[in-house]
Amino acid sequence: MEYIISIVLDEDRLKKIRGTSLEGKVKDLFGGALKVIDLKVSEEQAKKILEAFPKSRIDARKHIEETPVSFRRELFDLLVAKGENALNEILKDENLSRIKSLAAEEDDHLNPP
Amino acid sequence: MNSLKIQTPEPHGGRLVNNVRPMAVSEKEYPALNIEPEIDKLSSTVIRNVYREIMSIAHGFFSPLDRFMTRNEVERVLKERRLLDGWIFPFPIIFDVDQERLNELKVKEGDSILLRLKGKPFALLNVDEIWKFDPREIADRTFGTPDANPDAVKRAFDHKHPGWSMYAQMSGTAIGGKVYIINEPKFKGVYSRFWYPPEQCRAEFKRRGWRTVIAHQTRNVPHMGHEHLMKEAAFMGDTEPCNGILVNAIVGAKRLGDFVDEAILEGHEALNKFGYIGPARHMVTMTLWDMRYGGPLESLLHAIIRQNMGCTHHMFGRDHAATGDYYDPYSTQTLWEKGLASFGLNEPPFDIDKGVKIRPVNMQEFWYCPVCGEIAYSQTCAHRDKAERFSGSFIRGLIAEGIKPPAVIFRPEVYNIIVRWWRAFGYPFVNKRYLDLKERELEVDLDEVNM
Repeated sequence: MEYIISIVLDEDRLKKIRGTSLEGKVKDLFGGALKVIDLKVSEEQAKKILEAFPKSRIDARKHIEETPVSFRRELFDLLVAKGENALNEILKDENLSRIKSLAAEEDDHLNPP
Repeated sequence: MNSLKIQTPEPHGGRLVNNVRPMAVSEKEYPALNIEPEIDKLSSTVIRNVYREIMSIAHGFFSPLDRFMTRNEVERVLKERRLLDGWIFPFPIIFDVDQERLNELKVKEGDSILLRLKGKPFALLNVDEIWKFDPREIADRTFGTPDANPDAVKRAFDHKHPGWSMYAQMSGTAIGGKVYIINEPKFKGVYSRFWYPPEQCRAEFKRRGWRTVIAHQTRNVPHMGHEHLMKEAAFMGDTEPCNGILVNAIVGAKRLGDFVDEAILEGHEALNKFGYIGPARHMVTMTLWDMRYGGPLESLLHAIIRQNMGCTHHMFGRDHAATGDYYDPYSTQTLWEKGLASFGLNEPPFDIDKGVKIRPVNMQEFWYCPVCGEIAYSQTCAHRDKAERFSGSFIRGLIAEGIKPPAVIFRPEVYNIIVRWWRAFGYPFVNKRYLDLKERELEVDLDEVNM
């Protein structure tokens, strides 16, 4: 089974990928009101994500949702830096344990926009 | 000859309960108990405060129920989903109490207990019966099991389910008897303008000239899918669309990750304040209740509450008032189409003796269709494979990341309200800190009473 993680792109993120190969992977949602890049997630990768972040879940669309904000932010940064290999990179034990401690703080406080 | 025009239904059971009897009582006259929030042992979060049930009973939301249930009544509810007088009712409403505390108070049947809230006299509870029960058994029978209720329950309930957990962690000793509010709490801040107990709500409908009113149950800040559900469902009236849409938010202890009550109420209000659904047809109210997340059973309670408030119709969507995958996502709609025999409801609740008199409007879902180029109804739009759904978890993720959702997901004014309460609480959703604060402060304050 294959799953999806959608990375939502706001203006700032769109600027960061302008002119890169990622630009061709941008997908429109809601009539183009939202832009996303869909990353394919293998069964094994999905298992690792769900184990690391117990609140995350797979929704009816087979999308992995409710991962911590710090995970999604770092995943985008790695996508820009490492391209297709971003998911493997973020799932390295040292990265996951760092993100887990950041995620624990997110349960208590998130900075408003 | 019966007219095709639908009129305001009678309250469930024929009369509205009013157990609000302001009076000064002496603490020396009665043994006294402090009402405290109940904490879930597994998650250490608040799951219930029985004051909300007392408010809802005494103000008639649960009419004809005017009391905490006795053993026989709970037994009948669990077997047939009926009160002792035969009117249908979905949940056991139990005042459980710590046995040691009860021994200290030396309370016996026939006595009354003074219930204090926030240290002040609040209510009197008549002790008609003190009875014992097995909390785990009551929890299983309340929500059902895959073996006993295969028409609705897909997975056995466990401690991750807040409603099941609430019953399973009760003390095992209960007091059954009528309850009266003697010192009426005053709602604070945002809550006061949304409090319309059934009698006032019916009077407000009359004042507005609303004959047909459709109820919208909510525990969410409204996204565009909800807005379209409200607008489209309201077209189901009689000779014209419903005169009014009543949003009735459930206010109380909630699941971690749900939206905060303040944002839910003001978010819905923003829809009429900014004209997306004209205020002449839209009204936002609340009911105090710590959600059981009981899917079809919760939908039956919602129908009773909203019939008591004077609504003629009630919209029910997919996965109504549920969490997790314990119930079949369409079990609520099955209940309202043909009944759920395993719960003692052999026919739809409106077709059985002493059933409800509110009309269900079963709706499926609204999605964004890129082919139609609009928000479309799943049963009329044929582009299912292209549909983009309003996934709650996706939207929560978007908000948490601080990305402003486009207007096709949230009206900008509604999003601004989410952000306003996010700034107030340091978090956009219910978290442990919010629950602790909410249960310490509650939605109400009480005056001192001269004894």
